[in-house]
Amino acid sequence: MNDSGLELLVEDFLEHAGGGAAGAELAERVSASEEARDRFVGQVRVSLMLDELLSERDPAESRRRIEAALFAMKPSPVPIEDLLDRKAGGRPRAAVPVLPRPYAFGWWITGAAAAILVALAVSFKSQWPRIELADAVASVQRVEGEVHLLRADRRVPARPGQTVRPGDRLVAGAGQSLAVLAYFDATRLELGGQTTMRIEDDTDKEGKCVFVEQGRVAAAVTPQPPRRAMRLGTPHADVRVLGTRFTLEVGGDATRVAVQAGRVQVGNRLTQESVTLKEGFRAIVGARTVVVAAPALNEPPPPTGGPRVTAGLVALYTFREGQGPLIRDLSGAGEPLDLRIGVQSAVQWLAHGGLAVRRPTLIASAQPARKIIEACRASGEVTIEAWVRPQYIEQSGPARIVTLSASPGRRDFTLELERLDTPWGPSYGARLRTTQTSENGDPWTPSRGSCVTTTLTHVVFTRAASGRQYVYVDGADQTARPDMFKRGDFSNWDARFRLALANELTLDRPWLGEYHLVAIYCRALGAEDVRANYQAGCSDARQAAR
Amino acid sequence: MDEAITHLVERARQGDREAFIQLMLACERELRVFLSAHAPSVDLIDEITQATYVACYENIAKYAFRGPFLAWLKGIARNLLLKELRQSRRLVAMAPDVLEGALVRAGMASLAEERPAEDEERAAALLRCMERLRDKARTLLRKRYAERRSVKELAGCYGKSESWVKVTLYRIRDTLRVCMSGVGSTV
Repeated sequence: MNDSGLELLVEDFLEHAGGGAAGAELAERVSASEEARDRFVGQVRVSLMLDELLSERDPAESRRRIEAALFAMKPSPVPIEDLLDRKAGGRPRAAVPVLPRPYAFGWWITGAAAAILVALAVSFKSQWPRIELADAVASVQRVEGEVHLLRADRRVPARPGQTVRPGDRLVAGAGQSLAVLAYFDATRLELGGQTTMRIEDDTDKEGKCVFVEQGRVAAAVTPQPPRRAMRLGTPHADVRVLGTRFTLEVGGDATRVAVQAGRVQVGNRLTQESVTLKEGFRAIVGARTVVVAAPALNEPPPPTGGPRVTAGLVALYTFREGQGPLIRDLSGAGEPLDLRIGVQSAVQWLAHGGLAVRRPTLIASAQPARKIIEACRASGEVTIEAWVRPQYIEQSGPARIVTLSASPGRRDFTLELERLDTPWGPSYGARLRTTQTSENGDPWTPSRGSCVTTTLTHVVFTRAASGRQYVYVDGADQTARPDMFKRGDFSNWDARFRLALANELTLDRPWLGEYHLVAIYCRALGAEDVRANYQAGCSDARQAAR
Repeated sequence: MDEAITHLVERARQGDREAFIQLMLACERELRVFLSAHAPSVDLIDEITQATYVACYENIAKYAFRGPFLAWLKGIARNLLLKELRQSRRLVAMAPDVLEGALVRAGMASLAEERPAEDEERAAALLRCMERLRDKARTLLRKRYAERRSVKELAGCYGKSESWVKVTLYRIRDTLRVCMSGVGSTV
């Protein structure tokens, strides 16, 4: 057979992973001749095998992918369903196996012996006086920036592995300082910058106890024994918890509490009045004011339907296909930029609309997202909007919800979910590349902590040509810091990047959860626009609200 | 090697995540080579490899040590790939894509043959056939695949046109294809 021309077309196909300009001509040749088809298939087959046999894979990259897949599959340390409101009246499931009493006692003895050895070993090497067994209640797990431990009249830099005992104060300094205190039952308290926390005596009948004098603490509390709730005191509030996640912020004349999972009892120290907050609820406790509890500060009305904003829309996915591997771009703007599901066994089409990503996979456009890149370059503005329901609030990576990128460090923009290990707790946020940032688009623009729940949520990131950036959650501005500006323009956006959902293009930043709507605008929606889109909801959101 | 794998499997079955990661790293290359013999694209090789990690993690307790672990792992990958190819075939039927259609059908046909020994032999045959290539041809392949140089870079490197590089690579791969099917030749 005369292969004249076929060689060039095949190599073009291989070099551009099927996206070469000569695709149409190659398709014509292949469909016209069985021999050309066999040669084409043979060429691709040998090329893929050579690629695997000859290329050296980076073991670190492989490891990241495996770890990412396992992390994504791992349920939260405290299973969410064990923490949620048990309206059905069912008994809560134990988060850890409960041993029969004699065995439990045996394990207690073993654990105590181990704790003695650890405490003795640590105290022997420490500059501190030897710690009595009963004294060590927790240990410092992680330290960033300036963190000190105060004991009696001594003040030393805190370090990982250091044990703490009642009466100790942990002080995280200004800026990005951070300290993580871990109890022996895996309960974690994370102190943000400018936070002072005192460890209280927990040897009485009550459970663990700390007093937050000022600052911000994110807590992930392992289920505690009955009648031994963990207590967190502040100058204004008394917080009791049996096992959940929440953040607590002490500043000025009030304490703010926001619950991410489970239930928290919040009481006013002066009036003794208390309320129980459940997932998604917050409270402000003033010195002399009654506890205030609300589903959300500035809570917007629930979605009611209505027109969505369409000006500037360049891509729209409503996830109503119900089957198959393609998600259609319904924006009507330019050439449709359809998305393809990488592994369909990893996803589930939902009966009433929406797509659930149950296992790590990549949902991506086959071609670069040129229409988005070109339109946004011209406007210097962008809005990324999503109706999503995270499977877990603690997802790592940050986990990619929507991304226009090539790898973890090279992006035009990414809307993502950041894990618990941040001073502000699990947050939605975005990174955006401009001529004044790195390829990675840092610094990122986070939402306030406590916005992340496992309920259906409307998340929007906007960036105006002026450089002003906002993160809206459920129609309300939840930008963590009010001064989020990013200078520069989008003229350096890489036109080769593809649009993707649920993962980074390198498959090592998976996000698990449900998609109900994703939209990209090449203009910055204003607060009213965002509110209108929130109120318009998605059909799935309206159904959920009924 | 088999003993080391067995040891890792035993630890992974007891919940040792690090052992599981080491196990997957040890099997990754052979798994990917197996997939490359049937999958239509490197994207799908990546996806199926990761889906195989997850499926293996969820099911490793069911592995009964009746045969080599790698064969069991490839069985998972094979089923996952077959499922994807079936879905892709439906898609291609709805919105014809000639090139993808040809690759999907070929992948399904080769998977349907169900000859594990042949899978292993296929990769070995390709390596043997590579040894029969002339040094210049082998060097060009290494630059293209091991060093991941583009056609443009290779043209600059050899002082030839891009067309020359494309045609030469095509011919080398064609020689390998023919060689693998039993008809040897030398480039």
